[in-house]
Amino acid sequence: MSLAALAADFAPARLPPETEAFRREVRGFLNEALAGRAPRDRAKTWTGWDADFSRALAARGWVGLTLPERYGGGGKDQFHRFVLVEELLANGAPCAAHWIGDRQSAPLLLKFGSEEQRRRWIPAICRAETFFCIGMSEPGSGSDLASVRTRAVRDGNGWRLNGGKVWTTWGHRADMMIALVRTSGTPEDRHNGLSQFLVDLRAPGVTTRPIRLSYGESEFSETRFDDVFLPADSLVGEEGQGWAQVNAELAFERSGPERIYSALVLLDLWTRHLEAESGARAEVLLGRHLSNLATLRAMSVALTARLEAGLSPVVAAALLKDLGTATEQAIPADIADMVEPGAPDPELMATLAFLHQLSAVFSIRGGTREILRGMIARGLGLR
Amino acid sequence: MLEEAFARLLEAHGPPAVVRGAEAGEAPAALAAELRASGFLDLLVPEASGGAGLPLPELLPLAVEAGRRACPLPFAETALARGVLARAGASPPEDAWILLAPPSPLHPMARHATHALVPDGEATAFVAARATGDDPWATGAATGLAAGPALVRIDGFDLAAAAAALTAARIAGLIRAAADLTLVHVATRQQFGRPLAAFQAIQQAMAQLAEEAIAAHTAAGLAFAGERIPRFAAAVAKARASEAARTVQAIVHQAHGAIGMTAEYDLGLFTRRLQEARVAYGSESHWHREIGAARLADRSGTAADFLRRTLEMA
Repeated sequence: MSLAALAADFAPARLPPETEAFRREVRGFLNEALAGRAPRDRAKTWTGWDADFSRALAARGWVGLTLPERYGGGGKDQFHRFVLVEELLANGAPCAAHWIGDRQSAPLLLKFGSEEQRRRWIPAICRAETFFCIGMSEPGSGSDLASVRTRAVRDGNGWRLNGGKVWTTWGHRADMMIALVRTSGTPEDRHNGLSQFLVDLRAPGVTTRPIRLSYGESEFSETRFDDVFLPADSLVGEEGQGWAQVNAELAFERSGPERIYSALVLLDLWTRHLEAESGARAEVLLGRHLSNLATLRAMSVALTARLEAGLSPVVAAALLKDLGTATEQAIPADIADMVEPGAPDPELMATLAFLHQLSAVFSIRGGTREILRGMIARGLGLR
Repeated sequence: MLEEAFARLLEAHGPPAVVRGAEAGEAPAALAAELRASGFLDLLVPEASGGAGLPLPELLPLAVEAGRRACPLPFAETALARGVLARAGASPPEDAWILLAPPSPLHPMARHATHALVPDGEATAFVAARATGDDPWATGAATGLAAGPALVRIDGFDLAAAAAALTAARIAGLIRAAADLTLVHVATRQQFGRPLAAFQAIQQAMAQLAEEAIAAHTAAGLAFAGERIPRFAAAVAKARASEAARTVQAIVHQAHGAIGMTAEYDLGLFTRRLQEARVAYGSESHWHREIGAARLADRSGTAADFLRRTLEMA
């Protein structure tokens, strides 16, 4: 790959006109469903867990929007999903409950799962009946994911799982985990010998606990597996192919509006808070973020078109995520610089405090800035 | 196809030696003649008026390529102006090199230009023009223009937006050239027994360089998506490209070390123009302020709604 090849992944694309009617439909639903919700709550967007909201969305057919109708999905293209996610995030909808299942687990099962696994889990995800999480990091294994030590060994027809996962998003509320674990070799074997398993988080031997963060929230969890029995049909895809299967989904995970709009609710709250004549400093700052967001949005739409074409632009998605999260982080940091003495609006302060604290995680979750830049450098042929 | 033919023309007739010659005051006559003969200048002129009648988006890759070669002539500006003038029923002289010249601290590529589109009240005038004042970055730019009387008047043309959009495209090309040189340099230059590219600090910087290169190119593309250049798309294009220019020129020089500062090495051809282009036709803060003020005047909906509305994005 070269800079030219990377640039080609960002060939300009447009959302097809038929997405406009869908956007209006989504907006109409959100105006009603989110009425009266305070900005500080809206700011949680895809980190906010609200199972009732997820079920209401599912009742409309909007969970698993791009999945085939025969598995209970919406059968729509990736552009419709872009529009849906853009509206959910821009309006501050709490998406966490169905988020992982919708974005990663169901597409993973569709691609690598057995027919029986698809029939059992994908419709349940689309109905927002079963909530999924993904078990990746471990206490000794963060960015260096290939060094996982949690191990599944064959036991009769099934497997026996021992070890633990950490930093699993909403693992303490989810029903099922897709865990990346070692089935052969040692951590020194790196990417070889890793496999993915469906783990019922209510099974004997599984314990989860939330990890309280410094700002008081608990959207991450730690999970222990003590001799957990996994039935034979728990293995997803091929034994030993876990790493390749995980990587196949990265372009979906890193290229969407959630990598550019995580602080949009705050930007809009601040915008409404400003006077029409707020002076050059506020205008410049607001304009800078809008110009960055416009560019990032065009990049995300471009990658959506690549996904829709069946491609997997993993390096380009890493590039967008790194740029996007930098803007997401700059929004609270810059607005903090604009708060004047006097009587600050309590809602603005609460929303600012929440996102300013949360924002450190933007460039950690889903691949750290350093890992992403390393991937881009490799894509440029430098390593 | 078009893009490749244009790139070959510039490679053959506008290499760095020609760019350096033009900086020293030699008219790039052979390059000018080739560009005129190629028909590329009439890309946007309607077929009925003898042009290629292609839509505006076709100009973008050529404008980027002209930037990438540090073309000393205002190629993309002339091509856009010829299209606009033709649709107004006017035909400029065949050998005119036309600047788009709204008020600006300086006009890149002014030295070898012969004409300009300039503000004329609410309208735009086509005038004979020549460079005056200084050339602070010594690229063949000018801080002033001596303009003749209006030869043609055009209504309804947003000169500031067009100049900003084409400069954004030029920045995208200049960044690309600087990035390509830098990526080769870090892969080949050895220090401490290894290529520079083996160092993580350099790898991280090169990733950021690629990010800015692609952001600038994407932003420029926003202004060339339709039949005309929307004001806010041009504002975003120039603002984001200028921000990228700032970051990129710092990264590429840091990665090159001292060699990047020398006259004989090509990097300076591109970074001097990047600095100049950032200043010309509205820096990032100038356009940020216009975008921000527009949002404050229209605070309905979310920021995402505002972007779709004002940028005419789908």
